[in-house]
Amino acid sequence: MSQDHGPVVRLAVRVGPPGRTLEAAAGWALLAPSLVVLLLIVAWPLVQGIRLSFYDAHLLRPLSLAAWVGVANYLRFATDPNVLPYLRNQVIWVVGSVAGEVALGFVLALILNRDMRYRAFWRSIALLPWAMPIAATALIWQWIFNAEWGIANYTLRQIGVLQDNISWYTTPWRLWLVLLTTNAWRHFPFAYVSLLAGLQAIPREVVEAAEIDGAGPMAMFRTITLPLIRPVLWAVVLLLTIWRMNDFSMIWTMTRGGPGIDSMTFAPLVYVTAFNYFRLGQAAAIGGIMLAISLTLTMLYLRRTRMVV
Amino acid sequence: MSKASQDGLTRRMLLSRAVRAAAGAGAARLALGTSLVALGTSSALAGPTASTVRFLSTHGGGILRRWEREVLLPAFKGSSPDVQVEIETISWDDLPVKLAAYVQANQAPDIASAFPSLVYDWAANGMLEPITDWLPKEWGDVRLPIVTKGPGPHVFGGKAYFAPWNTQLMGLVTRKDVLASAGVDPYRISSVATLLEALPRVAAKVNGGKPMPVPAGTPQAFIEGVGWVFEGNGLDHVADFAPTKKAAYLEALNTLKTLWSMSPEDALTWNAQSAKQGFLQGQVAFFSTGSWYLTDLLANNPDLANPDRVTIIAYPNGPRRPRPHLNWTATGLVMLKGGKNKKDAAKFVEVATSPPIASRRTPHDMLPLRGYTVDDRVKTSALGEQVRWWVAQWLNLRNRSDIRGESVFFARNETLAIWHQQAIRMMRGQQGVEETYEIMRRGIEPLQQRR
Repeated sequence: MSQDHGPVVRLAVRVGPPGRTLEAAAGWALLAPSLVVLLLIVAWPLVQGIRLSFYDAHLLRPLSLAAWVGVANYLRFATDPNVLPYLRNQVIWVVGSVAGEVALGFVLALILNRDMRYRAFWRSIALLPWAMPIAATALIWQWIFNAEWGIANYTLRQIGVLQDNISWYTTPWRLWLVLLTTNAWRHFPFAYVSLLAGLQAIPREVVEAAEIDGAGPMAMFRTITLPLIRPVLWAVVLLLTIWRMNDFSMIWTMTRGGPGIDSMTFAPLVYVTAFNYFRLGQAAAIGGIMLAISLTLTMLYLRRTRMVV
Repeated sequence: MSKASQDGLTRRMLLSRAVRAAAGAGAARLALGTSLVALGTSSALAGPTASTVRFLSTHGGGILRRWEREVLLPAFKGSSPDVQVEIETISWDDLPVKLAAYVQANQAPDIASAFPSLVYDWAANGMLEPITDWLPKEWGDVRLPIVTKGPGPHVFGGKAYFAPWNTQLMGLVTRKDVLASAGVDPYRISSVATLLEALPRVAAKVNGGKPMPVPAGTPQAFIEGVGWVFEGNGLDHVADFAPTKKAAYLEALNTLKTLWSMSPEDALTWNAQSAKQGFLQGQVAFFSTGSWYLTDLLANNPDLANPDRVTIIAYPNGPRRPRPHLNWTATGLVMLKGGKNKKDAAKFVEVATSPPIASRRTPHDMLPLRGYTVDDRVKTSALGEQVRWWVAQWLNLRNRSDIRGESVFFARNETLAIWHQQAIRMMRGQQGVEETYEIMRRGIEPLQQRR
């Protein structure tokens, strides 16, 4: 038996077969309530959702009338003329969001890891965006970038960058800039907190030894900080990727996926397909595809964290 | 050992007293209940005996909630004292989803708010009860010929599924003062050609130089903003891809493209609310809306709410239609097939749509009745004389223009989403007019097959 299985198995081997059975039974009995709840609130809806994706289910018609259509819903999505724009939007959203959150979080973590006056106060301030409701954040930033009355246009005009107001939401690259900026502001504290904790865990003697050896700030960052914080960074990136994959609130509140489908990612698409077009089966299929991608990333995350712990 | 409490009683004694008191009260309550039931006067103890009508209502602000509470419910209570009404109020946006969810869960309300374009999909999918089967014949005799003008959206398979409590007209609300400063007489704008001729002159008089909004923030705002271009050129609606009408459709798409060049760029993200703001603040000089807009105008910019500054014109016609037109729409009630109390629900619909009750619902809408006049409206409106000029303008236009029913087609949301996306691509110059037509047709035509 592999030693990776930990103390429980080693204990069971010591006690012998009858004890092991008894202990296993007790373990299962203690786990049973949680397992039942998990089955009810996670496994059952998941199975139903996947099952639904193989039916021609429509929200306005009784589900009992839904016909089995095999993989037609998946094929319909795969052959949708908009599938490439949806995928492109999804990639821009996930990569851009994660990059923005991690970059902002990392920079702040590096700054606030240094000795400074009122450090505790600044560290608390950096967490504030996390406390803001997403809908409120989205609406505030929507106003900041309003073409007519927004403070962004006003400021850019005042400092001479713009001559006239510009419309931030009508050109795809500006639209994504607004969405990703808003998202980075709202969500960076997770990366910041995790990376700050990672930075604090770097042994002081390693840093001091590098300093004695004459390493400059860049060399310290490249050869000490980055390698030692890499496990945390990797976990943060993976977790954020999984969360942004399924993120709905920010895009929905700010643009509803528009104009047209300019900012339509998978999560709002599932909502629109189910509740605007009433195509439950089709929405479940898109949800199934999202699930598969998220599961792959989750497995990657689990393997990675097991590797580094 | 128990510790004595302040008045000398032990905890055990206190507990014992409390139990005895509770038992005594329960026995007394039981005895009282029994005797009341025996006398046939109990309601609270024996449980409610009244039947209940469940109404899924939509709100358009406090004025409608007040009407429900102070006018509708007392009136219904007067005619059906034993029937309880349970009202759940939600937004128009949430209505389709919530209603569908209730129906799926076998929890359909008895009645729901609706407007015609919603009714079409609901009736086609078997969610609704033919409402006129439950109402007296006179009800339909008086209202249906007025509101349908031929087979309307709520008359489906020969059955009527919708009871309107008002009628509303839609046209182009126009900044008369701005047009006057540009030397443009709004009443001379009757065709697309005259509109396009006037727009460059008006452009010089609005902030930003773009007077004609094409609000494309949502598919619904887009269709309300520019759907008239298509209907005004001989098409039934934007899902009308009959081969014989292809030339008319292409002309309408070209007009849309031209109008876009006269629209603020930001309008690509405008919903109805932002289009309204643009109009109120003088950013644009036209706003496609309905007779319901008066309340907003009075609330947000009362200075504009006078006939010298704002006027209404009918939707200009394209080359394939002889006259300008107004769109007709309404709000009202539907009965759900899965409702549990259809008989009382029908009584409720009858009371809610009766002229003395419905006429007090909103200050500006018209009743779906023959011969209804401006004076009738002023008499029953909460805004009194303030509505006269507004209602008079709409009724005057009604007599001089074609009236079209609200555009209805299957799979409304999905159809509009496809249309919206392709129209935006065309307006941005990412695809040509012909190509846009073909992509729209390929996406939308299959959705129009009756499911």
